[in-house]
Amino acid sequence: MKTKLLLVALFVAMTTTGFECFNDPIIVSIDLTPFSKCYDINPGPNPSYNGIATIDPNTLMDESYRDKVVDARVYDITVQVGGTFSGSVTVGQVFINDFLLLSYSGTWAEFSTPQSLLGGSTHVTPQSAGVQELIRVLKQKPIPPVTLRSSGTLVGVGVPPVPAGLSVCVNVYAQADGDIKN
Amino acid sequence: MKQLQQWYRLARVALVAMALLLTTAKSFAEDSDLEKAVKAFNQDAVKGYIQPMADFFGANMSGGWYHSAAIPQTGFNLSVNVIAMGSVVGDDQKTFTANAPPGFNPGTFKTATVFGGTGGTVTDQNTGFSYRGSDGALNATLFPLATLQVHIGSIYGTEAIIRGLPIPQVSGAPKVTFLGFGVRHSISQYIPSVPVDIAAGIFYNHISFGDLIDMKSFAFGAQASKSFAVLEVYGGFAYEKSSMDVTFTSTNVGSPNVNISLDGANNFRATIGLGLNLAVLHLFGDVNVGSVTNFSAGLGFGF
Repeated sequence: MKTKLLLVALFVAMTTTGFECFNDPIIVSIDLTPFSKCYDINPGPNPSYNGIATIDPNTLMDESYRDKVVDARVYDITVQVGGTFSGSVTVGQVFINDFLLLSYSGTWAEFSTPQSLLGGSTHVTPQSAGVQELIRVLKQKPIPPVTLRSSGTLVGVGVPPVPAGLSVCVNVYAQADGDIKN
Repeated sequence: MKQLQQWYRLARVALVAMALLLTTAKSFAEDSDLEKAVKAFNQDAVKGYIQPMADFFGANMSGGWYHSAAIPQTGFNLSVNVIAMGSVVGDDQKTFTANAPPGFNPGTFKTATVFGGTGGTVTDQNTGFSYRGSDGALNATLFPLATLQVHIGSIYGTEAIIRGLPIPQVSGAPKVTFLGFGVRHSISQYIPSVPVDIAAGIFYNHISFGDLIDMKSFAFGAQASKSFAVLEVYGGFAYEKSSMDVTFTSTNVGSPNVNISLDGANNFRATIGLGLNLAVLHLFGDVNVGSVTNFSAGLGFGF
């Protein structure tokens, strides 16, 4: 009898202590593949450019998180140009779903290396409206596609015409929080 | 008839032991959340997140190998033991220093390990952008491991030890395999005048959780014990080494497959324990002091 009691006591003690404890919720923060788009600038007489692309955020994260996002944030935006041009870009803007995400301006040469907000660039300025719109979209279930639009104007000696082979690339770095207990 | 009764008792203990192992292992059967949390990391970030797990597994696996240094010189000796080990989860094992994305100021931040709570957040001083670490998955003050362990001897004061924990795949949770071997040899048989029993042993463990974790540990050491009627005081020193290989495909899109190896923190332990020997029933518990504080306790049936 004594043996049985000891066995039961040990059994209960060992199976009720310690480890039966998973956190709830468990929020896992994942880096999304950057929202990236390069816009080709049409050569010719029009110094302004305006490109638009549709991006499905679902393709930027593992499918296991697609219906689990509870929060999101933008943690960097970069702008870089391609091609050779001696002038500048003015009134450069990036929109997400028509909400202004970023303004940029500066000489073409300055943008030939990525201008990053985290890098302390003075040529790019984030706009909270676009940041909030991206966060709002990422928290929807299911997550809808977003449009990423970039526009601006080229100025410089001899412009127009705009030379051929120019492009602007935008990368938006975001992080999503998924509740894996959800 | 007496022998038959002993075997009957042993069989009953083995059944209880298996039930205990399966119950204790339930947490692992539910570990899909743990796997999901770990797999969200890339190769660099996951190291800090799961390092405590490597430390605790390593310490647990090298615990509970003995509860006496008395090994008969000859004769058939068999004992079946149910042993639970647990490592204390300290506050310092609940956070680690993670890297913020390049360009962030500050460049590092404190966030939760797998044993932590809410993930930490870092805010870039220049832009106000923030970046967050994942939450911990496990809320435990003690990280346990349990095993069934059989001691069999004796030949020239030598006994063999086999331990194991086979858990099949359940509801998509990974299959858990835990297997260990040890050999101990009586030293005191060569020193008749010594007032305590002394033994030395060498031990090896292997444990795997599906394809995610594969861990090995190795230990060797010396033990001593002294009986006082039904009580037995035992202790020892051991050198140990453990490593945990973690392999998975990250769910962080674009991250390459993760394949890392982490060493357990414990390399040396001092053990002190107390046993209660009631005929064929043995109850025992000990504390192990090293880089990781570890306890083991259990009961055994044997002769």
